[in-house]
Amino acid sequence: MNAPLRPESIAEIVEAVRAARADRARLVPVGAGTALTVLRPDAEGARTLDLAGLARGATDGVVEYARGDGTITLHAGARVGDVARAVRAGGHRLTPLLPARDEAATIGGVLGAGASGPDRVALGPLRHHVLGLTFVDGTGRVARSGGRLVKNVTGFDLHRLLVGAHGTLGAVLEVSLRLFPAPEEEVLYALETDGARSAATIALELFGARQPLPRYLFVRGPRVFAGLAGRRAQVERDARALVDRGLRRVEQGEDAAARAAADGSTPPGPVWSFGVRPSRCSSLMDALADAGASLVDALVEPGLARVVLRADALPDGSAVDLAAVRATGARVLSAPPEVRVGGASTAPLFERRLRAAFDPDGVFGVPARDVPASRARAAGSAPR
Amino acid sequence: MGSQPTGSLSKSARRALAAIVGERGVRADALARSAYESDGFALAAESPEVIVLPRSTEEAARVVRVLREEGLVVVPRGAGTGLTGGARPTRGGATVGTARMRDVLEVSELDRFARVQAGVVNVHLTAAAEPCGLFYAPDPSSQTACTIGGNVANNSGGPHCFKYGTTARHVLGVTLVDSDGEVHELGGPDQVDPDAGALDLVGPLVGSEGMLGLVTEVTVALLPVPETVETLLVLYESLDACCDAVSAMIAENLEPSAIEILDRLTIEAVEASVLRAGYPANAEAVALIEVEGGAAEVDAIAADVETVARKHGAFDVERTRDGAERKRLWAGRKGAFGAMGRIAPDLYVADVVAPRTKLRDIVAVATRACAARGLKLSNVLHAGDGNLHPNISYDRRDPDEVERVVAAATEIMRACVDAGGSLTGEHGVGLEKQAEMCLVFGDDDLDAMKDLRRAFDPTGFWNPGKLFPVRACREVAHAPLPVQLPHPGGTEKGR
Repeated sequence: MNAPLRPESIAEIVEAVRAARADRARLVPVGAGTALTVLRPDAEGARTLDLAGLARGATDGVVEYARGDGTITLHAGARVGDVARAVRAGGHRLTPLLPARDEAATIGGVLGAGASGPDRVALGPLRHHVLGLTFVDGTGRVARSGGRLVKNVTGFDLHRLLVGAHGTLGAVLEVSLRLFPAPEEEVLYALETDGARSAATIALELFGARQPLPRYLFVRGPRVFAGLAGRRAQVERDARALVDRGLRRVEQGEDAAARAAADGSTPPGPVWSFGVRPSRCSSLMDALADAGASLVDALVEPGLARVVLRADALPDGSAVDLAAVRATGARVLSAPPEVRVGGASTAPLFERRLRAAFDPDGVFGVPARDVPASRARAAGSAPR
Repeated sequence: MGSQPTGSLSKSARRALAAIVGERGVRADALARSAYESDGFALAAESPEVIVLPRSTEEAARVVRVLREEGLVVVPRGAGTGLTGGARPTRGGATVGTARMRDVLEVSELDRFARVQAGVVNVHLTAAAEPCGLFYAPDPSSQTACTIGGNVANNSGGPHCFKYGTTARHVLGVTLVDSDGEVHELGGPDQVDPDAGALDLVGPLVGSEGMLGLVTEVTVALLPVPETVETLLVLYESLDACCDAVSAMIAENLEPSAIEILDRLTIEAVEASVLRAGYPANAEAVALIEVEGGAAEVDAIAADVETVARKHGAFDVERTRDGAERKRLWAGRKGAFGAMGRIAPDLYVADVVAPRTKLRDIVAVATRACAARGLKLSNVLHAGDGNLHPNISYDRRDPDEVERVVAAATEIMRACVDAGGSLTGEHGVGLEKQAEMCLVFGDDDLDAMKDLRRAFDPTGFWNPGKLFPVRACREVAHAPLPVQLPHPGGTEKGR
């Protein structure tokens, strides 16, 4: 593999992209490398474009923290942990919440991966909170859309294309995000059940009950977790409703609940992740039972339940039966790096034209698509 | 040559359209054409050659194929309540309206989504969700008329978007008819997130002003109706103090669901109208604030809001949780634009955004810009979001006054951009703000946006002549018709 490129300015990045285009080479933009799944820098002929250096010269990679306006603008290389700490001092919270082990992740990488945290059930996915961004496309063109405002409909929202694009189309250089008020009180409750299937059933009940409205709601193996955040009096009242359902408090102290939720909701290592309507979540978990139901993690939110399997902990000989999974209406949201299943665009025509416009020579690559299910089945026993 | 001739409708094509949508669904008479010549942007008008009103996605797709064959371009249209000319033609062609696509197709209580046809009126969607204890959050002032399809086109907001966010945060998927008459399902209840490596195509479609395709069905997220809602009417002796109080609420991280400001002239117009919200006559400005959530949370937030409000000079605070009382207070706000009809025949509604720390500064600019030109200004602000609506009363029959209105509006937009704000918060660029796009975006930014447009619509079939500024002679072929009245900002804008 070629040596990584480590540009420290936008001009150097543009130069690198133009050079790669001229050489018909591929670039894989990476942040801290905590979530490389869809595109991989070790692909043949690809060069890593390390964007972590883009934070240099600015405090914690922060371009502007508009505290009175509740927004922040960041260099792509800004570390999520640094940013979270910076805004905490101003009474704000950054979403997504990431587990402590991913604190070194860069905001550019988080955007590319389209990552969301366990607060998504209450606040929505990360892509809803991107106010605008600047990116360099595969022709070396630097373009900007949106702005730094919480409300703004000036021009087309190109930034929404880049979030979750895994570094294809272009590399994010700078981004503005909406911040949320840090809650006055925050608690995390849990209940141990006899397995993931039961835990998911309780999570769905809590979701359907609507009162209280949880800030966090997820399943980790046999345990269901529900978090509350907001005004103290309300959190205390809502907590009693959780206690009545048999849940018990697991964390206390400033930010401890949020940190525990972030750590607990995101399994380490490679995962399979599936999305399905909440009302079909139980069917999906049944379809996955063959792969070892006790390893299942799940998150529930409006319109979407995500079910996550730890790929490195599948029992020997077991497998993900993609046909059975898809029969429940579920989709593969992400797969372990060695498996290629995702990326089936519902509108291949538009996607093809977009890639041709923004990256005509494939400098930023195109994700591999749809491998046969037989290869996917083998993933369960693949040693890592 | 501002206008590019397009094909005209042949008799056989008209018959073909009628065969698809029925005789009632095709109109080309003078009366119908004049009804579709403009939207809420009254400064310019041009009629479509034909109006087609399909009843379903399938009919819409067939209609598009006929129109395309005829060489006509298409303006998609909801209820025509937009304020920037986005829903009216620039060079003839067809208008495809969603007025007959009003079915709520599905409401899923457990999964919390609804699927509707694009012509469903905003309030009808919330009414359909109500029996499930759910509601649809975006609530534009025009919500009794505007359609979900139009809301998608403009990424519409409304007072409660302060807490819940604009339309983009609530759209899970759309059904799109492209310029070949092909139907695409983007996102939807079973694909809230794009698959790994696939692009989020729903995201950029929301707010694309009808320029990427015709949205015929929309899947939206629904939210649980809050347990408790309290409305606060806060009275001030000056608009500046009212603005400062709101900036302070944002800076102190308070979380009401809506923060609106109405100034004295607006209050007078509302009180003189049938709406009579009971806004007191002795206030120079009122803030209308809503707090939603669990009862204990509402108690705590409302108390904090009142404290900050009084600290910044509020001389009275009225608080109510009574449904009928709340409705009365909100009727004044939602009907404010209509009530302004008492002051002058026409109302120019500006729609600009400022950082929330600078509300007072932009109000001052608007006041100066109008006073210097002898114009009557009133202010309504979605203050919590930094979205200002300086409203200028005028008479469109007076060309000199119209010129002054356009000049004042341009000055306000420039001041917002200079202050780190933007041209539009919820009504889009349309025809009105094309030239000003160059204040916000550079050539590369605009070229990239054009690339997005071409990816969906390579031939400029959908809503041509909108949003993009004309930057060079070579672009004139794609230029819109100029607004029919001279644009006085021509020299000072240095285009």
